[in-house]
Amino acid sequence: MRNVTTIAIREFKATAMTKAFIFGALVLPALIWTVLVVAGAAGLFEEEPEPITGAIALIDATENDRFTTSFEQQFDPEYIREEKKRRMEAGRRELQSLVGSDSELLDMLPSVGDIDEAEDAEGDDAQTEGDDEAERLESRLRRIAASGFLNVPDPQVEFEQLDDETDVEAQQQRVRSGELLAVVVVNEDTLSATGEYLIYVGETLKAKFIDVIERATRNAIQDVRYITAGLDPGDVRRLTYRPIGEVKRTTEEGESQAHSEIMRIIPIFFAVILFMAVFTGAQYLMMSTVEEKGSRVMEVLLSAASPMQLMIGKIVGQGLVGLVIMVVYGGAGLLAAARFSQYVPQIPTWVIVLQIVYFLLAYFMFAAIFASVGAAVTEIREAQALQGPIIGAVILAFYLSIFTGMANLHGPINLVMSFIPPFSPVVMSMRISSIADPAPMWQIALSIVVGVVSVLVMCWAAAKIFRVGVLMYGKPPSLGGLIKWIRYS
Amino acid sequence: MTDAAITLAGVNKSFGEKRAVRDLDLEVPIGSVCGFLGPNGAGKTTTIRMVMSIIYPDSGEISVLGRKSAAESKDRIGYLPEERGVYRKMRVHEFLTFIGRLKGVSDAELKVRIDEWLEKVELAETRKKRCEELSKGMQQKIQFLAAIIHDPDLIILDEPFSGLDPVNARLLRSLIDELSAEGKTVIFSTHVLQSAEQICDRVFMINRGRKVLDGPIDAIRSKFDPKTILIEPAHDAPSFLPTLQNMSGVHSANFLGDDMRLIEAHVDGGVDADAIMRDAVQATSIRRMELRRATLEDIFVSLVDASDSEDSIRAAISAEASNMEVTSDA
Repeated sequence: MRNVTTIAIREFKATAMTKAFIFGALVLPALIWTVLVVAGAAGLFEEEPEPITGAIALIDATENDRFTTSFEQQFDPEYIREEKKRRMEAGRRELQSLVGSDSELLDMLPSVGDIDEAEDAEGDDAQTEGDDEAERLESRLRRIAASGFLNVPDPQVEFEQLDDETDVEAQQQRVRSGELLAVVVVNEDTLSATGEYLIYVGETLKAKFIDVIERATRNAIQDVRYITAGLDPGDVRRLTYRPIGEVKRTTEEGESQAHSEIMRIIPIFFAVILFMAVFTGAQYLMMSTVEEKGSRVMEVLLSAASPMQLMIGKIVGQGLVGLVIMVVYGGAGLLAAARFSQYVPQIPTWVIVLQIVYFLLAYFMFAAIFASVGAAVTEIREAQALQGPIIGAVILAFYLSIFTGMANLHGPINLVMSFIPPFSPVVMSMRISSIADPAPMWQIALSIVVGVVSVLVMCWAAAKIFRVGVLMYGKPPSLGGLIKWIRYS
Repeated sequence: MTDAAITLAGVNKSFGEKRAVRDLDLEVPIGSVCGFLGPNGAGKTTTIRMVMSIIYPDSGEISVLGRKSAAESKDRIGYLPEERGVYRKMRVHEFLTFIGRLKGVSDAELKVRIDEWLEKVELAETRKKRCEELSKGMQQKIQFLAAIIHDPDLIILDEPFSGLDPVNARLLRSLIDELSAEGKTVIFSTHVLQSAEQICDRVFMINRGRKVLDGPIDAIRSKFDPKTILIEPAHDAPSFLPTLQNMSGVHSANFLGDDMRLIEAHVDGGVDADAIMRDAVQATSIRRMELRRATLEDIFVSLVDASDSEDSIRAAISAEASNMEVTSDA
């Protein structure tokens, strides 16, 4: 035991206390995390809207230049303010008709007149009781009213309405010379569902301005279509605003949120973390075994510890390395979910505990395999050649499991793989993290039994191979040779 | 318990077709310094590995320090393997501490001992260096320290002198003397016979897996009687040569070297060499006369006849080349 501990500690230190490991496993994630948080806090991810300045030429062949009117409105702050007001009023009326006259809710609704101030003074504590509800309603109404408008501060755009017959080539020349921001070409056909618009911009125009002009064009075309069809654009925008709501699972114990996107990612997240941790540890194990053989320190060690002690010590030491990876990355992932997602996944403790159980099972299986490989070969290159097929097979199984799991996590392929070592722990790790719909208890129990038995068998075989292999130099043995080693006492 | 540090009785070990060790009986008395000799590929390392319980014999009994196997008394044995190495990235004191801990020495004790020993082998300044920064000779001294840092009673050194320069070889010899003076049992294998001769009080030799020689070094010397007399006549050596050749008890005599000054006389078995030397002094004036003691080298060569040795060396070389091909069939 003393030797196992001593070897495990050395193994852990030699791997984890190196600059490369600390940087890769700890500093780098911490740095990325910090950058994300700091940049997020500094608002670097939100694009600063920039005033657009310049002239846009319109070649509008629609009847009565309906497009031009609509297009110009997209850049008219006065029009937009009025229109928003009007749309909020409509929204408010609609609400009113729904809640009836007596409701207190009505009092909480924002008065339409102060829409501008409301926009500026968000978070103002002027609200009375029922803050949250009122705030939610108000912001929603405001968002609906703003839908379909460009968010361009203080646009200084001049419009040049050109004759339908204008020579487009000449106008393009003006765009190229920088005189014009863009030339927008539309005709009656553009207004139909199959029609197309055409916008010419200069070589140096910023992408975000192109985006603004294009969105204004699209909005304008849509508005004209609505009006032509006798509809109010505000009504259409309000009515087609993406409905929101909640999906809740109802169980005997009560309701639980079933936010499917996050829920679908969690199992894959856990499996990836497990996979990473297991292979980090197992690969370091293999490399350090090869190194001990290569540097001929092996026999010195064997004079002080038995091969079994050495192997177990090394497996335990690298297992700790894997655990560090799992905790660091798994923790970072959960933290990120908590920080950046509005839905914090509630992961039950038993899932976390089982994750660690499956990590240990998977790790010991792969550690046994990788320790054998490390002991059987003499050079790192041979080890890499041998580990190639192993990792390939595992990754293949892993992808198979993920892709079939997307449709049904508990489908037939995953069901079978749940009980086949060494895939079983990885697949089960995924299946138990489907929080709302985890694998049945008997399967969890069976997979753990299968796992423990395989770990014992694989470690026993690995110990045999390790024992013979560590002092064997030269050509690595064939698979048949390895089996002979196992039988060789 | 017997007063033997190591006892081997009827030990056999084969690797596939090759019988590395055959019917080996051996006894190493406590407190002795034993040289373990033999040509390359004779089975020295295999024997030592069996003593260390790193590999196990096919048949036969091994007892080490009164226990059934070295596995039970590892902490009392210091072992410097032939295949030796260090953790390249570890610092010298970390490496020695690690090995010391494995051998059950307390950290406090190790702190003192490591500094002491580093001082002793003149490597105090390397304490904080990484092992890979050391020269090969320095690394070998560190490996030696790793073998003895836990103050073992039995020290087994496999080829300790290979790769050491004369100065360091001398240092190592003096350290072995010192350990022996403390009452430790030391066994070392070598094919540098000179060093064995200087520090062993006992040797055993194996060839092709069989023991061919075993005993205290003085007894072996007397067993391999001095049979050669070197004579340098003061003048006219060529005319003295026939005189010497005709003397009774002289088997043959010949010049050593082309300058015809030094004569080598071989004495018949059972004849008193002293008498011949007296006769020679009477026959002519002698500048130098020497009864040549049997060196281990003479014994080595006489035991391992030339063809035999060449064969095994050749086998050893090819085994080295295809490295353990033989054993991987096992």
